[in-house]
Amino acid sequence: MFGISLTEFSRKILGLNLRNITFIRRLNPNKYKKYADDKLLTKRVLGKKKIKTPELYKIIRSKEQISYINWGALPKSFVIKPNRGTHGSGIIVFYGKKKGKLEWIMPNMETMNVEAIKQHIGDIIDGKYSIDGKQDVAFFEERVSNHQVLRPYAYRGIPDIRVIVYNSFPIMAELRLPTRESRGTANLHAGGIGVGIDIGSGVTTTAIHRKGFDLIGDRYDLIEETLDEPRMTLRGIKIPYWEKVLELSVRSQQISKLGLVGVDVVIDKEKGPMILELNARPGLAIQLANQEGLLERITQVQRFKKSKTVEKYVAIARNLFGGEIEEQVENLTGREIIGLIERVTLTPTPAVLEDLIKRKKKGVVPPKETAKCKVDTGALKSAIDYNLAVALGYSELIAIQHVITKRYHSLEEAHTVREEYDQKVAKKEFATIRDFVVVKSTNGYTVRAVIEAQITLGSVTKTYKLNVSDRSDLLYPVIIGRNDLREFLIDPTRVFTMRQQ
Amino acid sequence: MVLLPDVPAIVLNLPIILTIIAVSRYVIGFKAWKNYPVLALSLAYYLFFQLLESTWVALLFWALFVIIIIGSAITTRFLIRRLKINYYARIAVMYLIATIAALFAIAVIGNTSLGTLVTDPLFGIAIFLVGTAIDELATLLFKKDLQEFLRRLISTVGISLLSGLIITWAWWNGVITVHHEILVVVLIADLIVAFWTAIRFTELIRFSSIIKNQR
Repeated sequence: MFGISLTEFSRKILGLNLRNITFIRRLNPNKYKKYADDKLLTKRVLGKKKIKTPELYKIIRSKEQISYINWGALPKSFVIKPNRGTHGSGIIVFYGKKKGKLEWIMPNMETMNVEAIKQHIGDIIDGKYSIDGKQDVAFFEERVSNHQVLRPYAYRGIPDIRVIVYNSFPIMAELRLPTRESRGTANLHAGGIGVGIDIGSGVTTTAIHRKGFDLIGDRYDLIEETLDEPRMTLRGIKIPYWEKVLELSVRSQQISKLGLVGVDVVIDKEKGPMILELNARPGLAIQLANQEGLLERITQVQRFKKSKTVEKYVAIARNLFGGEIEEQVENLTGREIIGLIERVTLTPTPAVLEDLIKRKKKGVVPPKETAKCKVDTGALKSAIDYNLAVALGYSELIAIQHVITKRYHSLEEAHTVREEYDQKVAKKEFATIRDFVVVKSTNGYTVRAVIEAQITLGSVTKTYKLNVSDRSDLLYPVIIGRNDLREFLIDPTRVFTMRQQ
Repeated sequence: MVLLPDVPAIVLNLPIILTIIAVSRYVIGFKAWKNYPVLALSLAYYLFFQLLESTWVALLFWALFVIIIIGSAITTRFLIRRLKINYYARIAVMYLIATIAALFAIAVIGNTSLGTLVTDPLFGIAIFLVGTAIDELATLLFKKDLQEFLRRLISTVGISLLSGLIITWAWWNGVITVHHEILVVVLIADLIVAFWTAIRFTELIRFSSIIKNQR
């Protein structure tokens, strides 16, 4: 049916019926579900075992207590949550506060004043968002600060990582990213992005986003990039603190005594991984994000005996389900693996800075630029766009712009110009230009200035010799050629692998 | 074999409706929004059918009152969502507007050739039943996002209509009112669905890409 084998389907994919009857009913007894359904209890229980959760500011148990809130004492950013809410309903994140007013700003840039917040808290207490429709409790919680690795991918919200843990084995994981459509929430049903994570390496794989309009429901399209500008490739993101994320997830599952649980982890830029909440009925779209079936993985871990330590469970899972081997390759070769397109940071060399200071005769802020870079194994040498070089402080290029942007019809003419400027370099007339070269292209010949700049690609910072040319009509302002790729191994299937250190 | 005296078909069909809900959810994968709205709307259709004795006319009246009552309730709930009023008071306002809308429709029907219909108690009960589904269906809009709301609403209304058509099927009613032991068969069906762990039909569509991409 639909071109697939039902047997294969039933062997690999965990459906809702099987999840509910075989796993949740048997492995998640009602008496332990409270550790997941009651967020405040989750915090308390995990906190006792020294597992970090976002800081709790205040609990509101009744409408009378709303009038006792000291609004002026609230921090600029915080989160309001219903204690027994599900699927993210009722959660409001405030990013900042309007100056001089008691109004807080949400991820969609709308604001809420005290009256509106009071109304929302009242709705929470009335049970509007609670799992069973009964009266609930509202609480104020710390807003996590995005880790710099994940921040570029998250539209005005906090991404989280969902790890499915089955009997102490972390079997599948997903990075959930907020988008403009989801109004800054990492909720896939609301339009957030789900990105599968390779358990072994902690590197993202495939990404999904909900279909436009879908009568069947819970269906997703595979996507390659984020949906909001700037577009970022979703494959190849290395999740920070990955080992710790897995260990915390396993420990949380063990503490909760639930056999199959979804652990939501956030990574704070200061505090590292923290447990956001536990889910006793984890959703199954994670299979789509990973393009793998949960049932197949559950079957694989069932043959293992109980281990004594959390580390052992994590190690077994990483070995079983790790598809990427980059860390091993990097360790063996001493080279970092990069993709075809990366982001690099450029800074001028000390000589250029000195020149800048001399000319400006007063305090200079060292220029620093970030740019998209093409890793071009077809080119021998590296190159930089003229405008980017000028922005970095190589202002001597301005005076010779007419030379380096001109197309020469004959090689002899280009060489004549090159020799003329090479002599000026030899006479030290240029402080920041090292050389001139002639380059042949389809439109003729160009004379290019060669400068030196420091480029940081991944963890490698070194000085590159760069040919300056007009690349304003090209996609990438920087290209790195073969001569400068000795520290790297290139994976042609990937882009934006490296995050800036 | 007749086990009981002539039990009204409406009572005997209650478990049938709930079995239809269970099968549509666990076997097919369409989720209605809770049991009560489906029961109420199915029984409303049943009553319209009893009054009008025509599938299509009953369907027309049923659809009219579902759209008017549920539609006005949902619209009201949506419009007053930003007002700073208590939760239960909002529900009360919703019911009020829906009732006014229903009364308007009744007034219009009262002035037509079908005017005597509006005085029949069954008519009033049918409208009452539709009205009792307001709370759940209007709440749906705020519990789920818009797409999920539309899916659940369509499923609820669709399953209600299917159930209504089955329980008004003359042949079926002839069988169940005579052979009450059919309820044992229904019980067996319920137990099968209760322990049904196979993939739902909609999941075959939902997850098929995983199997195809692994080839």
